[in-house]
Amino acid sequence: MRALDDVSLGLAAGERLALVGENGAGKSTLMNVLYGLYRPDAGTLSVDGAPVVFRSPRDAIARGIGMVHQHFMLVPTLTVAENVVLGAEPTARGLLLDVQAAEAAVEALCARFGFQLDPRARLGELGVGARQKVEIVKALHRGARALVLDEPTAVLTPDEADELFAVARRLADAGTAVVLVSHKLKEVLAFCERVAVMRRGRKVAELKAAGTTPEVLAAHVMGEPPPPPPPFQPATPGAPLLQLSGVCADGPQGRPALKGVSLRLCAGEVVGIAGVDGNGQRELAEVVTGLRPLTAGTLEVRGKPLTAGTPAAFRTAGVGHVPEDRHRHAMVGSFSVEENLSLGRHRVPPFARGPWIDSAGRHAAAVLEMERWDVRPRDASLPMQVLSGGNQQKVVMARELSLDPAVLVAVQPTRGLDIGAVAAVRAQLRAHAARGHAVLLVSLDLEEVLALSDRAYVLYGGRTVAELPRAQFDERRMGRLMLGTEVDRG
Amino acid sequence: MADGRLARALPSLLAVTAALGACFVALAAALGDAGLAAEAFGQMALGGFGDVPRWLSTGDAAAVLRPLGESAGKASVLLLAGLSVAVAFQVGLFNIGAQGQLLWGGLAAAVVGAAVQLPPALHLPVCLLAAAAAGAAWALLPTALKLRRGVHEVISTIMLNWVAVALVENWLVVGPLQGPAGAGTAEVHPSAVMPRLLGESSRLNLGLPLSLAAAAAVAAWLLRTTHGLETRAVGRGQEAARAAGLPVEGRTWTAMAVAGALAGLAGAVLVLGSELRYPGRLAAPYGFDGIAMALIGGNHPLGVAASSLLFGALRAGGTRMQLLGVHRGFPELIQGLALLFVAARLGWAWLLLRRKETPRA
Amino acid sequence: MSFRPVLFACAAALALSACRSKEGAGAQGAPSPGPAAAAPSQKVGLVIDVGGRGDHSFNDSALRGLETWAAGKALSANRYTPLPPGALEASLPQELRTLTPPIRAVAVEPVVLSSKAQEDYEPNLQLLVDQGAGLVIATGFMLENATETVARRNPSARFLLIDSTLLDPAGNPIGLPNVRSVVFREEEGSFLAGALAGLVTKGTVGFVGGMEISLVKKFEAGFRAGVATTNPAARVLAAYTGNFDDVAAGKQVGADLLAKGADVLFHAAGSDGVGVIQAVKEARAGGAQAWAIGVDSDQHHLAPDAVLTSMVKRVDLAVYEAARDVAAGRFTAGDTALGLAQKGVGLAEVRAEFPGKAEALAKVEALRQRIVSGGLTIPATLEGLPSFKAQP
Repeated sequence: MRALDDVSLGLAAGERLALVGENGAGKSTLMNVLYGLYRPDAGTLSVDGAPVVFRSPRDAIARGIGMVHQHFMLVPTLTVAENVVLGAEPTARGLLLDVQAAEAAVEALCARFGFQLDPRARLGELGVGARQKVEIVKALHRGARALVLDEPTAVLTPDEADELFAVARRLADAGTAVVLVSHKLKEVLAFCERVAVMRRGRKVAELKAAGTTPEVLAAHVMGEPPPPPPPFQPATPGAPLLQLSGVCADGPQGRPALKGVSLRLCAGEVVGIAGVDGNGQRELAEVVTGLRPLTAGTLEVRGKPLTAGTPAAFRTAGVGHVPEDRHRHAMVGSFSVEENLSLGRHRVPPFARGPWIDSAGRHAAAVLEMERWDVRPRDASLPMQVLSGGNQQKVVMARELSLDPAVLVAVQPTRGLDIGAVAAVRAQLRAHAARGHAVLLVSLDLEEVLALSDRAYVLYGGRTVAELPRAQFDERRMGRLMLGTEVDRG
Repeated sequence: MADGRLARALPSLLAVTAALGACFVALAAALGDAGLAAEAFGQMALGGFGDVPRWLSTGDAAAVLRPLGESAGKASVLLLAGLSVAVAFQVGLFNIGAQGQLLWGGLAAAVVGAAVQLPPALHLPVCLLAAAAAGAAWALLPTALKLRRGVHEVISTIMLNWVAVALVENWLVVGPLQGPAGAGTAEVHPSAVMPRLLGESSRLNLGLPLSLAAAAAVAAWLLRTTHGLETRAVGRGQEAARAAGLPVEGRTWTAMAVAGALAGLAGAVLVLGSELRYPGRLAAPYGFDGIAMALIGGNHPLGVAASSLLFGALRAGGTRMQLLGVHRGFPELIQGLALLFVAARLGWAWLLLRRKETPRA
Repeated sequence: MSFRPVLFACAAALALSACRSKEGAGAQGAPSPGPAAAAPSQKVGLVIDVGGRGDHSFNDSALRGLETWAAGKALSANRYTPLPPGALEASLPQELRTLTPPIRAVAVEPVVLSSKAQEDYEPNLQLLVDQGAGLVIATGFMLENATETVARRNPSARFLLIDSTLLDPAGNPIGLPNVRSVVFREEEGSFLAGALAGLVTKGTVGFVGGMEISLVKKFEAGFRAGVATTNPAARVLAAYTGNFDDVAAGKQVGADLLAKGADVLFHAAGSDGVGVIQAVKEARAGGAQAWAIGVDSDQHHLAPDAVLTSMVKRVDLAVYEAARDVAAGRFTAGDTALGLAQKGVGLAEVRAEFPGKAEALAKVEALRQRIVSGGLTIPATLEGLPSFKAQP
């Protein structure tokens, strides 16, 4: 199958272009061709009117093309400044890395475009949001004249997203062409002048943003008008299933990351955790799934204390987990889809018969679940790693929900998924709660928290600083709470 | 699924074939005579798979059975050592220590075989158990260092190889455990000797079926049981396995114990199959060859079995090349090239990907 | 894509020719017009141990006896070629030039197999039998088990086992009608080495053994007895490397003994001994006055300044004599022990210069004659040392 089929696209200096389409529509492939990662079988690529051949990203960078990938290409053990200058290092006396010059350069860029970054911070300690900023600064440092942003706002707060678009607009006004690859049609229409729609490897439409509505755009993307979002069915909370009080835990490098988290999750509820990345979300998710030990406080699952539990104990107690880092925590990339689907329940029928794997039973169960979740391609023996991100997430969701956990901890469950997959995942989370279970939704995407939650906590500086019922949801105010610029007095 | 496995094994087979071909060309170039090179390969085949022409002309079945016995002896040791490395690989550890585990296994088999009097039906199994236990115990040392102290197993297993050589060959075998005949332990009792399967003319013994059964058992364990699934999950995605509630440490302990036991059995096959005592030195570095067998066999038990059978025959037959003046290290050269080709396979895949892959978005 | 195999082939060819320049083996069916071409040429097979060709010691001595002396041939470029006239005679050490009958080439064709591993000995011996060798030579005590097995299985083939008799499981010598075994009275040669070392040293001498087994301890016992005879006040340090094929280990142990004050090092450690000699050579380069005594072959050529002498074990002679007997159709089985009297062991020519050399050599020669005449018996074990020293 062709990932790209006869696509033509032009980009002018200072233009703001959007590229939209479902997962697998060919957006990433197109951008990778532009960035020198793949070479096209046919067709030409021209920069400044002259045809060019990019053999590697190095060639693309030399021609002024910058890229901020969805999966960051950064070295966790280096500092922010070192990451930014990597590949174009300023050197002192010919050989040594001039760290001060690098830090000064990063500070200057941050000041010019309004980013808040500590050049001396080690990248591994930063959250996803901060890492993305490092990626953008890195591209700018290399003198990008055309900047590709791949799903840049998935991890940002609304205020941060506004900030990013303000920066991007300033860049465009200064002559830089900006390409935004995004699933969020609202922001696409708000930011861009022109929208290219991809479907099945072809460019199916090119629209002016002005005068186009999200509904029209969605119809182009999906090839048919989208179903309206299901009406929100508020929950009637039942018994508490998960309770944390005064929970503290250390983050990486042993620094306290949670400094007093108290929350309660009741049957039938979806409870959101809103917050800017790096405020303890990751540690919170690990604490409530047994992956990270508590240093203080208590934790109960269904009234049973599990303060010092292993991941296995949490699973037994009925906690399911859809983790943030899917590749590391949720799947074994070289295992087949059906093996991945079986993990965690692989010792019980239909996946096993005594000590033996029940291959036939497992295969049948896997096929059924792939059908139900519309996992593509529909081949249970494929290695998990060849599936697209959205389909991998569906497999993970399918497995975790099949265990029917009393408490499902879902971290960034729709990150990087296309419109159809997002809708499916969200509907399943609501449905799970409606069956009398509870869902703890940890998301950096405030819009997602607002759309799904019956109740939400705001996490700031490792503490739960506010608890809000659905009636009091307010995007702007919550954004300020998340940034610590407003203190909840309610 | 079986088709998929075959497809994945195919590049390895091609690599081995390519290595053989390259070696032929190399040999022809080195000898300056393709005819002589062909003759050398012919000699290797006669030595590895049996001298069939001689059997047909003289009716001497030993001409076939004897070379087969030598090939089988080498193949079974290579196979057990290769399985040891492959099992460790499956749980995500690089067992460079198979050699040390093999030495301890050989010593345990020799000591129990000579010092204990038991009925034949019991003696051999007890010797094998002792060898497996000794190898496993030696493998659990680096495992403990890894799990408790975070010491990288590559470092610790390499070091422990030398410790094993020092303790076994430079001290025990020439010291406290030396037998009356000097240079080595006492000869084992007949009840502990691996029964020969094709009569006295061939050294083909129980070691071959034993190692093949071990390969089948390891394959069944890793691929057919939930315990094996968990073991592989730990090796391929430790964090994911932990998050899924699997006992990561427990599976690591078991797999390394099995790895050590297999290497120990390799030592036992050498001692009880052909040496009948622990000689002054157990010589050939089969533990390291095991790494090559595991890699060429793609860490799949049956792949390891295939590569071990092939290289066992090449090794045994390679001796005959000396009759034509070819260096005794030639079979190792083939093995090295095969490894290079298998490793290069990854490089080729990468190049192809860069050149013309149309990837999934 | 097609260039790739060619590249690999070239690499492999390089590797091969590199290997082959060091080793090779008998060329089957090579023309062999020996000096005694009248009689049909017989194949004589030789299996050398894992130390391989080029150990400057035991294996090379056996190869010299078969290839150079018995066959009158040299191995070059993978083939045997006849030696130029006079080359055989030139290769003979001084004390063997006067033998009667003299050493000269006979109608044999050498076939040599190197072994890769302990378990290769048996199939290699068998392969030589299968190749129709009139005599199969097994060099080294490590081949004892394999020789017994193959000899029992092939009663019509003839064998020569060097350095060990056949042993039963309890360690007692046994005989087979088709096996000749040759052992050496290493203690006698080592005694002379020790006597000379005692006369040369300033106070401390060293002994470096390979594997710590009774065969090697024979060397140590003789050496200690010799030192005690000529220099009762001298100290003897002994150390073992644990193997016979690790040059680096030999060098390390040698350097260690030198650091502890030894100034004459005698080694009985196979290839490790090359390292011992290197250690002495380096110590001399650093200004120290030190000597090495080689073993098995005359190792003078390894370091002409540093090698005092060598305790030669005439493996070459034993191999030659067996090949000659087979060629002449008068091979006999049985166990032989070769000592000083049979010229099976001895000191190589002392070419180094040191003060008082003439008197020292005279004293050593006197001791040699006492042993040959049966007036002096040298202990073959360390346990026998005290009673030897107690003698007047």
